[in-house]
Amino acid sequence: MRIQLSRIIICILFCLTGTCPYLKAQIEKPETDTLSLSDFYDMTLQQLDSVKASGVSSELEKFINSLISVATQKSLSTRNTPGIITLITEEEIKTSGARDLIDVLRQVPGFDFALDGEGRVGIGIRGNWANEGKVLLLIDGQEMNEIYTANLFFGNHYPVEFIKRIEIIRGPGSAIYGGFAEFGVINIITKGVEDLNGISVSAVYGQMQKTYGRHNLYLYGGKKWKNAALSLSLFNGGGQRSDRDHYGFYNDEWADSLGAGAYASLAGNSELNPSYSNLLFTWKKLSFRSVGDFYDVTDITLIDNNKKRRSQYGINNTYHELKYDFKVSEKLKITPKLNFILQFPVRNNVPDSITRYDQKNFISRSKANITASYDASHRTNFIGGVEYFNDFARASSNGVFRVGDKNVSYHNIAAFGQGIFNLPFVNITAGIRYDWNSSFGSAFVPRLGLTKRLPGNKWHFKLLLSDVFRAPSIGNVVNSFNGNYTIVNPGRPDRYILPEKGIKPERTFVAEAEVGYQINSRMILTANVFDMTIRNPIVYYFYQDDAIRDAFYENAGINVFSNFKRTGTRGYELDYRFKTKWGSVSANYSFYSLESKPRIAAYSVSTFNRNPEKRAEVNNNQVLGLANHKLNVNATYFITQNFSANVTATFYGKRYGYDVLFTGPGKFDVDGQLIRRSPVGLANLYFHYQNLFTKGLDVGIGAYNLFNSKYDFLQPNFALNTPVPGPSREIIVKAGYSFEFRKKKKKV
Amino acid sequence: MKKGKKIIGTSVLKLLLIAAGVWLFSLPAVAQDIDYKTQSLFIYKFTKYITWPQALSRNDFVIGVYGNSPISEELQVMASLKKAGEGQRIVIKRINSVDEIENLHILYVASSKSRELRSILDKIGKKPTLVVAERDGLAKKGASINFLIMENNTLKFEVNRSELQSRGLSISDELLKVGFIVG
Repeated sequence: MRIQLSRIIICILFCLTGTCPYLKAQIEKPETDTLSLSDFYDMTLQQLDSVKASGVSSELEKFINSLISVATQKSLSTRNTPGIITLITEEEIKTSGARDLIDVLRQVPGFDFALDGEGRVGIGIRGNWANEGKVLLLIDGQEMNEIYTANLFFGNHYPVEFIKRIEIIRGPGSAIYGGFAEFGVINIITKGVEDLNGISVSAVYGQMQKTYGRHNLYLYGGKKWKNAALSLSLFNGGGQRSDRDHYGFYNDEWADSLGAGAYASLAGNSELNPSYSNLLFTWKKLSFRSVGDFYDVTDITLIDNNKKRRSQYGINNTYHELKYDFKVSEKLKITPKLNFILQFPVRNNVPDSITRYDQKNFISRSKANITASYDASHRTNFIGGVEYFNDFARASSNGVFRVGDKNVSYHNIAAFGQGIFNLPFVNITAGIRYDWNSSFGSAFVPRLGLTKRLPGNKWHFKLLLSDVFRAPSIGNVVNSFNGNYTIVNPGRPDRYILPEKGIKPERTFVAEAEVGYQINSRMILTANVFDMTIRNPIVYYFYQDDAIRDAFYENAGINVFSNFKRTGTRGYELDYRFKTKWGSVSANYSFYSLESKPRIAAYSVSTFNRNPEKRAEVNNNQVLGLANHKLNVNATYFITQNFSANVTATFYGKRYGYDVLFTGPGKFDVDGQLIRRSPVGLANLYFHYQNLFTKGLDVGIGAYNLFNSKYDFLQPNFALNTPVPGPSREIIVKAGYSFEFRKKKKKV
Repeated sequence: MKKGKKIIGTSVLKLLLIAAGVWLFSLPAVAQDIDYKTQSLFIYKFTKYITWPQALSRNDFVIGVYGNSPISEELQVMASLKKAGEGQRIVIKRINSVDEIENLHILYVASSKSRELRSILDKIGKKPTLVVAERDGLAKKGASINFLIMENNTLKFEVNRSELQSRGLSISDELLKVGFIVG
């Protein structure tokens, strides 16, 4: 059955990539001019003012010339934007049937997913673990990172059905956005009243081999008046991380009697439960947005006597923004905005042994920002502004002993400026950001980007240099470790280790170069190289030494954040796109290496041993959890104007992680071992029909992980969180209906 | 079973590579070409909204094209359909060398001849010839007008007004609003 399915896929791919251009070329009709040629010359000057330089653009050209603002806050085409950019459109998400943001971002060169603590899944970029506050996720301008640790949570979380487009910087964006944008920026723009002045409802159901994969419901309503508009998006649902078996550890209550742990199915036992709301009210140039993001996941690492996972971790986060776009003149725009973020952790049924690490009741960020954009001429734009924010965390009673105080508060003041100089021979973007942090002093972050599209638009070039500063988050500080510690209550049963706090900011320097060649009106090839160097990287790791082993037991230690000296990666990414009216094919390949960079023991591929001095490096070219090589393919074929078939596939090179090793027949004879996962492919097939029977009714059906590949999320740092299985083959059904409000007829 | 899977994976990769190869070598390598018809629309407006000295308004309106460019065909079409100024016949003249530049109302300098701008300007001297350059940035270097493509892909032009006036040409404010003054 598998072979038959694979043959069908191969045939579809071949059809999409090889033969169909010629079949379809006959179907495409040339556009007919309704005006006579002479009429064109009689255009008024006002009409001429908006005439395009290249006449009717092809589908590809519309795509690659899309204006985006993620890298500069000023709208520039993707080819001129000073950043290594990936743009993902609503159409691509719709036709691929992506289940969640993991499916979407997996298709991005250099982006990958791995296992964070407690069974959560996080993101890595270009061979660097980025989930700990080194990648910024924006939804409609709201910074979605959890403030305390700056973490992100992936897996049936953010609502892909509402996405209009995603603008991604596959490199630093800190000169504009600050420290969280150290390795990358994911800027999600959702649909609003300008896209639908009406109502839409959609539902998704996924069925894995042994249990449901997800059941999500999406609601949207938007209404536009003369000077005002209101829109509200709601998303609620439930999902499962996987339905395969996973080795979990017995919690303390059962460990003495049952042993270290056991394999148990994740089917119905690995919940991913999102609730989300996004409200926007605009009145003329004033806008108010409020986003609610409530998400919890089952901690799959701990099991009870029935092999059930009962603990849940999550977030209850709200984001509020008041903004005014003040257009002083044609050239000058000033935007003041106020933001308030409030975040509460979710801890349900967490064992007592764990709750003592539960350190906060809530955390808030209050932010004020004023940004001015000035078009000095048609070739020159300046953007400048100032930003202040205050982070405030209230520690839980359990956490005070580590925080040292019940309340923790940081202030940060930043000033930033950017100039875009569109010169005939090159476009220059120069930016600076100056940050002063109440705990970490000041930092200066420069950035330089050179871009050039050669005449004829076939070639483009980019050269980008960025320096990045990231102040530690409150969570980093609370769990920081400067190398010194005290054993409190030595010799007594209630003894514990109290590490001395101390951590410095992290700095990253990234050099990137890109060259793009538009082969013809339907195809473009882009290639880029990058070199990242991270100084004083903040690393979460497991610390132990002889004194700790003597005072406790062989495997005792502490999980802490510390600065290491230096690390980084270098590599390259290739991106090919074919796009036309009847379909599209894109393929990208990404590669990273750290052979020439200093390596960090916590991330390096080494034999398993809790004593770092006894670990032996096995592979000096890649890090734990993330593959060196990744290949993506995404092909869509419009069988009719409304009916499309899509294949997406991701191929990973070998990956390393840690898993349990059974050392004997005893129930505690368990240790860890380094494992090497063979290259693996994930392929998906999806059919989408829009406007079925009636306008606005969309349906889709497909299969994700079509060949039921055994893909696992591996931990990217030293620890014994056993690999978390990905979903098995999941059949996905989507249906949605939307309609626009009728326009009122004007009275005569 | 593992072996079977590997074979399937290899097949997919091979087929993808073959398909990509078919594309790369079989389709015409034409990128997003500049639409010279759009440029010809602007040039037609130049004939209407720029005023040449009285002495030149009685003869044919001569537009020279220096350099091999598709604009020639577009301008020929324009000449067959339209009249310049107050009704002058438009004549398109192919220029093969700087020495042939003589008695032109407009000289269009194709991108490939941009490097010869200095010698073109020396040859024209102060004669009332509007020098229209295809390449971005040349108005600042002495051309009367150059085209440029904006970020949103609209076609615009830059005007070196002082250079234009020094040749006895005057440009209307209406036309200036559509372009950008750089000198």
